[in-house]
Amino acid sequence: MLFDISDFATQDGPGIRTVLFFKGCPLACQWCSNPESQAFFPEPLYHSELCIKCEACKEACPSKAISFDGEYRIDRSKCAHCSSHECVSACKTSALVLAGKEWSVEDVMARLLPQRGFYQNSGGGITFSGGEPLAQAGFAFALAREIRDAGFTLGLETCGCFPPDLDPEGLRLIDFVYFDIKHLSNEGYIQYTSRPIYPILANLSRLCDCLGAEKITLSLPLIPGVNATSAFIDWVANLAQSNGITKIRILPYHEYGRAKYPCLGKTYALSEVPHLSDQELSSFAEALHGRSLTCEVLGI
Amino acid sequence: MERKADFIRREVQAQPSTQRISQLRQAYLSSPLHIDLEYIDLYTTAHQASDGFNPLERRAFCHAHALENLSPQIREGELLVGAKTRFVRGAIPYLNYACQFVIRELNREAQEAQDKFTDIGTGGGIDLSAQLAKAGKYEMFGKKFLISRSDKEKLNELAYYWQGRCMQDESDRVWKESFPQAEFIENGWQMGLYTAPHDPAPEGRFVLDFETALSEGLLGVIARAQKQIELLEITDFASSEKLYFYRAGIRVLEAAINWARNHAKQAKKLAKKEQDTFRKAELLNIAEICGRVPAHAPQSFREAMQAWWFIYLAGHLEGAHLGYSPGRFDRYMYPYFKKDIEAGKITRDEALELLEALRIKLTEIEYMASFSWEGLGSGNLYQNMILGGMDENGHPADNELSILVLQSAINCQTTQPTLSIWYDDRASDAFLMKAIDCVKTGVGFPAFFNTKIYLQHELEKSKLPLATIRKYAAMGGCTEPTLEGMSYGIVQAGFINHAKVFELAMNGGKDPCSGIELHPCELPQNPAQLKENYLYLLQLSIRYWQRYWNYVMAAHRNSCNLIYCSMLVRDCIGHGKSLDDGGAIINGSPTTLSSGMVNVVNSFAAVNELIDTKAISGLEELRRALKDNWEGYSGLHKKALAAPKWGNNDSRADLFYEEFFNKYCDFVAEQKNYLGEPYDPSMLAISTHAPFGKACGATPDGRIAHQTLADGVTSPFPGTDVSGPTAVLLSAGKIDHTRIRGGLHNMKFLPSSIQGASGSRKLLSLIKTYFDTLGFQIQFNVVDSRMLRSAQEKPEEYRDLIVRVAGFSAFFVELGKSMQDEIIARTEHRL
Ligand code: SF4
Ligand code: SF4
Repeated sequence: MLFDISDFATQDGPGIRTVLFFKGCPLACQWCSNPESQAFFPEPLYHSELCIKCEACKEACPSKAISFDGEYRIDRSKCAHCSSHECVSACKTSALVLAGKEWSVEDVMARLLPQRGFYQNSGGGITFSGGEPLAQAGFAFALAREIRDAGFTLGLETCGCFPPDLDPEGLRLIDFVYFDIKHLSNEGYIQYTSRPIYPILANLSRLCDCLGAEKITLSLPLIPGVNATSAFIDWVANLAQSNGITKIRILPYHEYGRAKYPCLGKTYALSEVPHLSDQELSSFAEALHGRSLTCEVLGI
Repeated sequence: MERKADFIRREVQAQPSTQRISQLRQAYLSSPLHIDLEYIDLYTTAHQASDGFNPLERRAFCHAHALENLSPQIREGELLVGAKTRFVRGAIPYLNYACQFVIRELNREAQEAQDKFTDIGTGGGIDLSAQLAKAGKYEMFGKKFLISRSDKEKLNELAYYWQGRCMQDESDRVWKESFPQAEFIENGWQMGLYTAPHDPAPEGRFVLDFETALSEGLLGVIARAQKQIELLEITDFASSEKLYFYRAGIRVLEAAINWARNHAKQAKKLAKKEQDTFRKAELLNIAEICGRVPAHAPQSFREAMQAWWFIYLAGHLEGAHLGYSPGRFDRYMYPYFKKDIEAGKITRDEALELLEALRIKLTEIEYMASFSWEGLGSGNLYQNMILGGMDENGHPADNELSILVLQSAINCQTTQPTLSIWYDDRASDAFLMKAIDCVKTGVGFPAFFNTKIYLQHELEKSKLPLATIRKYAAMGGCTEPTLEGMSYGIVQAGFINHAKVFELAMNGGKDPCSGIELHPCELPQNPAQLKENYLYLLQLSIRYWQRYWNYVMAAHRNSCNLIYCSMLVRDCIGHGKSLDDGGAIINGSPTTLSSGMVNVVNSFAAVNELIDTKAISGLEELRRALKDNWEGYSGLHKKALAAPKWGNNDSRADLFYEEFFNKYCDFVAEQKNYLGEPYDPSMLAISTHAPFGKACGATPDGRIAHQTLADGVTSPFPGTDVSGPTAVLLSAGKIDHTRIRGGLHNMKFLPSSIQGASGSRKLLSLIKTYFDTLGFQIQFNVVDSRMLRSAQEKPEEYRDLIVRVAGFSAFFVELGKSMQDEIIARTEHRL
């Protein structure tokens, strides 16, 4: 299941890429900018600027999950995810849309193949992102095989939380990996992402063994107040070196996801987060350079 | 677009390379817009004195007299001298072309039928004019120009002199009486089927033969014409017209030389008074240069720059031009540059300063047209300088000067001339990367054009040798290719509103908005009948529109024929004929621009879908829904919106585009222009999509009444390109652009999505991939937070702006206000 397909992506690996966003993630990072990516099932997603407050959705819901107190509210505990998503069909203005759709491998390929010129001319390809692509390993590997056959490169963005016994043949279809590292401690991982760190670190060394460390980049979402510290950077440098990894990517924190939470009936757990200054960012980058690691800071 | 302050860190930004250019640019930015009567006053005096002349000689006499007597313009600190008017930003009212819109404005009468559909800009220099008018010294003329009280009286007097004499009055007198379909045209104007008559600014879209004019000097050109006179034997009307043409041509070229020499005198005078020894020396140098060029061939790059400007400007003064363009500047100027650089006579920095100065010169020119045309053209002059391309042997032609021209635009950001690139995979990396750097400044150019597509078009159309087409392929106007120095430039009647044709087709030839019955045909009951109606009415609308325009061109030939420009277009001298008599090598003209095709395509796709899915039983129900602007039909509206749409690489819609596009090209080419050549189809939209949309009711694609139409030629209708930017390009690439001269595709980006050299290369691969299809043109907007703010205010103009941020992508205007604010804050935060 995917929740979005994004063409002409330029920040998710070399060249012009199409990013496939897989729906469903075992982690629940508090800063997640795609909260609709977390659940493994389709969910109604609300866009207040399109809503005309006709309350047709409320009438239509068999579980009485929707209420209006001036604003649309959905009670996630009541929403039964009725298979027909009555609320979405009832909305005439497309203010409610369904995030998440089952795709067949053929349909995805039919969507990708006409774009081969863009991939080939730019040295680009496809990137799996999410959500956690490897949480749907069967679908992901089937797709990966087709992508390999079509001659496109394949990238993976992973949070590292996936089953330890994945088919190595499947994994080897991946050309490069962005592996997220979110915190330096187990406590931090549990607090901010709801999962322990150990299986993730074990998966990292497994991936390095399977693909070769040169194909792996550690990807750091830097959140002031959570992990934007030189201690974290230092720890990451050690981690990289012990695994033979040489590339780091920094994703400066942004709040663009915040507004989506209420629309899903979720709450954004982080309070005000200060912006990272260019200065701080470059001092982190320099520290990594000092440890002989290459570091790319993504723009926003 | 006016940019007041640059407060956003863009990836590429620079300053004018010298203090002098900064000051000149500042002077431009802080100038209001003025009307200058000097030229037209002199022209009118000459006109009064030349009653009874042969029309060609009279036209030449008037322009020559005006040119020779204009006060020479040398502004403080200038290196390149000469200007179209006495004001930094001035416009000439070309009353000899059209005076009625001026008279109506003076009388504060309502203008044309189209005015009710038009908006024009109000910011920047226009705002400044309004403030000065309020302060009392000047009055406003139209919506943006200043005029002093005494000049206003003068303007009134001049305008009334031209009443009944100007080109428009002359053509109106004839076609309104003798053109059998005159009523069709006037009704078409009433209902917004056509754009307003553009007699006030009909010229342009061509490039002079600068190469020859520079290398021979104007005296050399005169000598060639003189030679022809000597060889001529007068035996009939045609041969005597040749004689008149040569005499006329020599007269204007001499005037241009005298006009340049007036600048030499003026420079000497200024030098005498000048205290600053440095400037004094500069002025003496200017005097020397203006004494020599453009009469003689320039001896240096510095002289070539001044000569070029004089040659260009004298032609600009002659006509009411839009799209009059510099062409392949980096090709024909390169020999002068190369010679001086190699000889150490000039440094790259000095050359750069001259190129920057030229940008300001070209930006200073303003024009005056009727209100509705100013709205449509957004006040832009469409002077297009195109770089790169191929040489006659098919090798990439870009050179060091091409890169410097790009650098001058990066350093000295002005709106004119717009830069374009004839894209070639093999062009040097430094050139292509510099072009992307220029895009990254946020100016919106250069635009990229697919060389191969135009070569194919012109090979088939003109049958000229491939080597000639390669070498002279240029751009005359915003996106209309032309063969430099050898093409006729007066073009077309204006735009056709496809959405209106569709409405008429849907309603049996009657316009549901105005109630006017344009051309009765059967009320369609099914999609097949609807299509038949549409194509029939489209063919008629094009046919009558073009035939009407030929009446105007007949009047143009007699009153506003371009004599100076004819002398500098091949092969008018060889043929002994002016441009309007077919003297050029290429006499076909690009024409009948069209707007709104995408809405028609989507409408047909929607009608099919609604009938196939049995959402409607026939067209009657749909007609009612459209008449009621979908009110009470929300279910049907939602289905219409969900029907297949152009821009998603979906053949259910795209096939309609291909079909209608090809028909449109056939219909246009069925007609002949004033010179007896088939019209050459072209497609662009400038700003017509807003007024044309305003004139139309709801359409089956789900568009509501009066909503702006899809802009450009291949841009999807806002919000319907749900499959992303690459799918849009795949749709656009199916259109056979070799059939037309023109076409345009807009994309917008946040700077971060193409940052760094790797980002630039991604953009280049995007261009390459698009140009591997049948695509013709692509241009990019790299947005900053200023633009994002403006997108918040005017979401309808930024419907296709994609914000790609680390985690997800979205159409900016679809984001909630809070999220938009966050993105803006963040963009600014990274200052
Ligand atoms: S998806 Fe949830 S909120 Fe919507 S109708 Fe079904 S149960 Fe109600
Ligand atoms: S049905 Fe749609 S428009 Fe109506 S209240 Fe619900 S979300 Fe808003």
